[in-house]
Amino acid sequence: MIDNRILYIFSTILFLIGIFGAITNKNLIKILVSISVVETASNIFLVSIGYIKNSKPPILDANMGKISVSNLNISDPLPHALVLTAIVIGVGTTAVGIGLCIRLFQYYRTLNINRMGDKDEL
Amino acid sequence: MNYNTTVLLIIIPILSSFLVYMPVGLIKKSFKIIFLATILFNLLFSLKIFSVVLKYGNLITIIGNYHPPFGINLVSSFFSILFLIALYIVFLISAIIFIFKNDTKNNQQKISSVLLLYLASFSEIILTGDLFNLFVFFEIFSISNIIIISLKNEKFSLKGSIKYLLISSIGSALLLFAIGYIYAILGTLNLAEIALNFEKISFFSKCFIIFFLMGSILSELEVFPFNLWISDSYAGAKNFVNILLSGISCVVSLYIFIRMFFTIFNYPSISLYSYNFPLDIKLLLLTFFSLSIIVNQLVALTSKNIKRILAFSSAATISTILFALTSGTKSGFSSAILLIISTIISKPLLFLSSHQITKGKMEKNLDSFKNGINRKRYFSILFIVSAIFFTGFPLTPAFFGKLMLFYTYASKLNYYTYFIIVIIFSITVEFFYYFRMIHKLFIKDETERENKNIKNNLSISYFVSGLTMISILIIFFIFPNIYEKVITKMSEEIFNQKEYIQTILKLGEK
Repeated sequence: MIDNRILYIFSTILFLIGIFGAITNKNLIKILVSISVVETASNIFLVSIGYIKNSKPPILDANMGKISVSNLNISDPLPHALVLTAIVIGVGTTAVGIGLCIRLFQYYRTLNINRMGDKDEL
Repeated sequence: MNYNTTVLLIIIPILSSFLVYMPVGLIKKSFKIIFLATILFNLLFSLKIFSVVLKYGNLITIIGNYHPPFGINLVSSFFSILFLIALYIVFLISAIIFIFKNDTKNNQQKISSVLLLYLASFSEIILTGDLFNLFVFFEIFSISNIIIISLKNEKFSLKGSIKYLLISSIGSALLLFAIGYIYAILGTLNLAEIALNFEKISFFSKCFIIFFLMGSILSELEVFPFNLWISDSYAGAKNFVNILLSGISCVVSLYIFIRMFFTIFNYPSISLYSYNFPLDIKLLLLTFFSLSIIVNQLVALTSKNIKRILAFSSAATISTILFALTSGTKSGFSSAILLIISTIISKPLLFLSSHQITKGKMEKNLDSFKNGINRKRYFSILFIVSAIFFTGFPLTPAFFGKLMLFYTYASKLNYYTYFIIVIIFSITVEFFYYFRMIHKLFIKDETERENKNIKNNLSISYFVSGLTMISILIIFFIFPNIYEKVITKMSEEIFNQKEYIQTILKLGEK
């Protein structure tokens, strides 16, 4: 059985990997992928919050019977609902980012951020 | 008035944003009317809510009959509604410029849809009493910002837009981490309940939440080094977008900062102390914002592009406002509100007038201001008056704001008093580059003969917008007692965390 703490550590490592990728990569698409990794890390963290050790899924079915103190050991469904919203928002942001990358590529013929500088920067 | 009608401030713009985008013949012809009617509705309805709030106190809107701390609720207080009214006025001015402008005619239907989403998102951010709801609409707000920055579809606007997207995406991930952490510890996302229990949580958790929440809004607050996007965004964006960015986007983030720090964290009395690791959060923030003020003012001083100068000047002012708020005192808060008033009115006017003065010039640098007083007399006068208001000439709101800032840090002599040097430096540099720009307006341009073919038409939308904003500035100049009462009431509300918690949570007990 996976412990919550393992998931917390895993999401923190994933978050740091994403930040490292976003800082060190020069290619815009790779930076966008790194940021998606950061978003995934935060989603994993959020899902892991709702998890309770040895708990059942929060679905009321025939085996569960009536809701009572004995079968209250269910995982918290609220973070799952929040994550669904966060995933949708993340996809929207990535789509807008890729759209901008396409337009930038049409101007500069490259996705390398070091080659996108203009002489009159400041 | 039914308490739940406040939600119309968010629903109507969202519905209209879908409606104006529909390719139906009748809507295609009348989308401008729907667009302007929605903004006017929001402005008038917020005025109505404001009158109710003045009469009966805070209004709590419960959505889906889930009483707080469960579900989503909207809190209309004196502070939030007044903020909203000010932002709606700036939005209306920007919308008038956008609608009556000729160069966006092909995409106007699509852009107006995005602008309405922008309107709905900042209305919700200001009114919401739920943390996850704030995250969702903050994301919509960021995406709308990204789209409107890239509207010009040129190198600078696209680069500015992608820079903003990258920084704000990392910010939103940080916000999500903070939300998750708060939910894991306190088991709630209601702002009032978080405020009630925040003092009880551990030192490490407080630090984690504060730094992650701060990190999420720093890019919108244009604080150095998270403001790398403003260099290209302002310079490459359209004029009405500059007005929105300088007058609304950063002010909304300032509102979030005030709500988080004062209402949720109870900032002045927050105890961030551990025996192993004493953390002076005030000193940390003051150092951070001082650095931001210095860097932004120096970049504004060395820039040649007019829009960049104004953008970095705006960023420096936002950092000064944060600097004032960090004091955690009532005088510091009053100073911040005075500077916010000055920014909301003067900054859009500076962008509007400078755009008209440099219109027709190939390069939008300092030299394009030459002979402005003869070419565009009306807009040059607007620029001079707004620059005088913005820099803080005697008896203007900015003057009183900066004076109160001095008073805040000099009234008690301690090591925070040394930070006054930063304010003196900032004011001196700001005066210098604004007067350099004003001086350019009176210099004769020798190359002007070549550009005589440029049409010198006076756009009615710009004329009316400029006149409206200058009238508001003059009213504030003649009647300073208007904002005196408002600021007193605002500081009473912000420094009374208990009342905020009681109004929301007592409603839930019923």
